[in-house]
Amino acid sequence: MPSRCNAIRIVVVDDDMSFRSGLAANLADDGHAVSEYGDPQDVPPDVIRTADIVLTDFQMGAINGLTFADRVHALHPEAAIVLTTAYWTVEIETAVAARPFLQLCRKPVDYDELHALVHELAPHR
Amino acid sequence: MLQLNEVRWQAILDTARDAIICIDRTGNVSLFNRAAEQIFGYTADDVVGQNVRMLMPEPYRAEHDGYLSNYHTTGVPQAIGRIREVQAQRKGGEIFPIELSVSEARVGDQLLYSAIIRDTSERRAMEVDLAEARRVAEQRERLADIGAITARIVHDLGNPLAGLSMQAQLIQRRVSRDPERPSRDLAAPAERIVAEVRRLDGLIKDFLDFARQQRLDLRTIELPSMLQRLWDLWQPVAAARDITLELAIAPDVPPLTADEDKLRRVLDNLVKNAVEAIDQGPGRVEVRARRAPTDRVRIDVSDSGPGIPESVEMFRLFETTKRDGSGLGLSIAKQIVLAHGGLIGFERHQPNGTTFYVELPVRAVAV
Repeated sequence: MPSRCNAIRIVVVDDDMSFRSGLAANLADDGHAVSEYGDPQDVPPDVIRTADIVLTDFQMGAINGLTFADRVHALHPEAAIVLTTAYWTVEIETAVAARPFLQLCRKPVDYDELHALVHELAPHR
Repeated sequence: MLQLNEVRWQAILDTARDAIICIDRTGNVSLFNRAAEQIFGYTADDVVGQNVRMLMPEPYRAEHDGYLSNYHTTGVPQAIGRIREVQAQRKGGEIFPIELSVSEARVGDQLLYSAIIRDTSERRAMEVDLAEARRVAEQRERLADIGAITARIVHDLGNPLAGLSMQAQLIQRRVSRDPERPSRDLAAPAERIVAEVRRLDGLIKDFLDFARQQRLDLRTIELPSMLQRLWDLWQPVAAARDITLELAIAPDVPPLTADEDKLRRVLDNLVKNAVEAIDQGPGRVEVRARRAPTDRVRIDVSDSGPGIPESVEMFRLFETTKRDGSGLGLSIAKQIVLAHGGLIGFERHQPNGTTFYVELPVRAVAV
């Protein structure tokens, strides 16, 4: 298991508890420092500013993943952001393509693939 | 004076939009007005003095003499004194629908029958067009429903499946990393999988309810006791939210032939929606039942909630104003009510509040 100081700081935001807690537990098992939120509005700015990677769902109640991603990027441009979604449309794809800081990952997620992406996005760790 | 009267009568006959035809007791035509000429395509000269049978298709043509002689011997009228929908035949042979009203008059010792005939072929054609338009609209609505269902399945099943998959991958990875790992580390994800599957199962049941043919189990039900049970169920829920739940049943509400379980489900849904619309009181929900015209019963469920936005189509599949609503409740309610031959709708109140109403025929016939 990697040591704590090598841990990648990951924020998981998803209103689906099952997916969120499963992903967070998998990442924690791999030694990462994970914090999880069911509502993007609950994520404190300080947590965003210190995150290496933010994994967010697209469709979440009041504000959607794209709006949240823009907010994260404005607060902390160095953070890599991955948008996970079960709902796949051309609109979402083009919106993501217009944001170089954003990666798209389709649900259901293969954890090993996502984990590889996490390492790729945070190579300095 | 007499002349003036005749002129006046002629004017009336000429300007009438309906065909007016008089016959004697043997069926011979004595009067054929201008509208009759236009409708049937004959001139008055073609018809006057001829038997009125020439204006009828079979079987009326063959039976007409029989009608007349039957009436003359028994005095039991077939056509006299009421409006009948029958068929007539134009000069070219075209058969068309008419409304026929016949009256009887005695002029001196002469018996005279006069018929007023309205050509209803245009109206019929419009009715057929309307029925066709309605059928197409229903089909379109059905297709829209299927589209909505597909989008909803992708959306509603995609997320839980992603959750299930992630929890299962968690178990898999924990087991493969350390086969001796204590089972309590696996209990939480396993429980989540079970709970998630249960949630999906509920969703599938809702879909099935919607998709299933509404076959009705019709019985005579006593509305008052049924509504009382509904009140008993919801009163504590309403009271906990500071909402007054009122029940008013008019004494003339007749027993109803309906599917009790399904009707119960409709009313349950309406009361639940009313309570949830208010959310937190003080507020008021009223359930009223009364007899409505033409052998129907009307049940109103009114709430003092904030009302429904104009943009919302409440009975549309998946339409919901609730954060966690499935948007199936009212769609299912509508299906059930329509299957009873009834109707369901709502009225907005100013400045706030909504009444949902259900009107059911006293004797539902399974459709």
